[in-house]
Amino acid sequence: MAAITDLSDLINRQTGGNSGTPENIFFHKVPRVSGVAATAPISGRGCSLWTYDGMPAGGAVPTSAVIPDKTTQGAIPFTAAGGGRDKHLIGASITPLTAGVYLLYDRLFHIGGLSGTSTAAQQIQDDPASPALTRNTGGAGNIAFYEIYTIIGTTSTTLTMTYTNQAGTGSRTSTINIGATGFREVSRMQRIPLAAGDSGIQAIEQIQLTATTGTLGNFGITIAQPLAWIPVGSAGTMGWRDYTTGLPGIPVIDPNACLSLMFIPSAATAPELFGSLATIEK
Amino acid sequence: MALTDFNEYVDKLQENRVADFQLSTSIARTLRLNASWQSFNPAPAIPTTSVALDKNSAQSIGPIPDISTGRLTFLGGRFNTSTYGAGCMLLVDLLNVSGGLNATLTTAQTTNLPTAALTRYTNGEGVMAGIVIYTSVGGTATTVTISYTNSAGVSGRTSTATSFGGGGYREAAILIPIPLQAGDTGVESIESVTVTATTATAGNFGVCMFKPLSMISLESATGAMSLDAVSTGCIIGSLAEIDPDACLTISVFSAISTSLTGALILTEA
Repeated sequence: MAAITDLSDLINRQTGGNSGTPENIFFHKVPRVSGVAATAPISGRGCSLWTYDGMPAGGAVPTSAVIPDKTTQGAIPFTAAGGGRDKHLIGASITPLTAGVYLLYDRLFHIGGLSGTSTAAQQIQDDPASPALTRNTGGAGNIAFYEIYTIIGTTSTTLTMTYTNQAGTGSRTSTINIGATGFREVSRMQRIPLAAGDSGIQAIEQIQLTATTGTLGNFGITIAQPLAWIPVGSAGTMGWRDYTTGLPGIPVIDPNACLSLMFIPSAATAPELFGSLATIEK
Repeated sequence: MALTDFNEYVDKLQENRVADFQLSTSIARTLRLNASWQSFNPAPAIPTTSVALDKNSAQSIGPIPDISTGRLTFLGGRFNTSTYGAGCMLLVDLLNVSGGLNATLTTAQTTNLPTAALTRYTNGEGVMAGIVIYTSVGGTATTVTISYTNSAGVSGRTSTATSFGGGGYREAAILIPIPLQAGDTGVESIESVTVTATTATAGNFGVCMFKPLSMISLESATGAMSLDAVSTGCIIGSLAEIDPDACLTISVFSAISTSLTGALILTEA
């Protein structure tokens, strides 16, 4: 990967020089899913915007284990870098109706159709993984979520995730609570912590609930590679990040990335938002 | 051509080729996208037929500097809000507008449609569609859809229903972005508009098509807020290329009710 040399290199490429191919990507989301008002998010807890209507249109609820990519319905469209160059994310912004912290991520893997009542092991990618990740395959920095597609039950229980970590070690396990208020509602996207010492995920073999939540519902597991956290302090303002001057440096967007959004709202209001991503190639 | 380096960038800034704008009133609605060009001074007329816009249109910030063979580039600007607070300014190339639709009719409306043919971004890739309200529609919340041709040239596409009428979706001079049908990445033309149920007041609304160019953060600004593409932050989409005939205009999304004046700094690079 070729790094951007200096400010002059950046300016030159942003104005189209040296095959910089600048692309400013714009998107909007409305607080509706398939034309119907979206379920209000839970203040302070993760909410998926994967299925939200807008431009791009909302993604579909996965019915099997899938590796989504830039062509998958719901992905924010962009032009893949050409000529052996990388696509660098130099800036990102969101102006929303609901304040919070927004996450732009590459949706590496997802599965739906999991049961909120079954206490048997529920296969995710199995071992060996199928389908295996096709992007960020080493797993470093990858994080996992459970994502609620149809409301599950009111009984809190424990979800145990069995996975292969970034070092290729399988049968690692970690747990998170699931079910009951705040952990059952449609669009909830709850991060699943990793076992001590782990810093990423190559694959998830299975998940298992300790007890039923009381309602079958429909939930899934998503593996994500975070690209940009965009905090928005209050509704109606613009949260922005300039990666040429701020940490964590300038992220590279995989040519097949399934660019998606989730957020942690500071109010229980489904967001309407407008956003942009600024990119150049080198 | 492109800017060679930082020194050339500074030289271009010093040319100070500006295009001015002024809103005559505060934005129509906080926490919504506003069709802020409707508040320019002098105000554009409410459109009837669909009109393809350019740099000479009343909706455009101007004057847009003439260029020869180079690239018209957005360098930054000076912005003044009338009220202390924060918001966002979306810089867009407004491609066409139309009006004369009725918010009590539930049949597919084709008045002043289809939209005028695009004269820029002609295949519609990345072009967004919106509803612009010129005279307030009713207080009954319903939804609206459009039938359109997508950027692949496929006609008969139907947008996903989105909110229309009722608080926040009825006031004059707001802009309601339209969610597209799954798989679509732009709009080439709009053929009809359908309101699902009456909002109870006819009002006057229409559609517009626009290409976003840049997002600008207005951060607790009173007095002059000077921003440039390199040193100040607050601009995502800085150094954006602008079509030389662009109807360069703004849509404000703000937490506060504010008016806005300012100037965009443009250059040929």
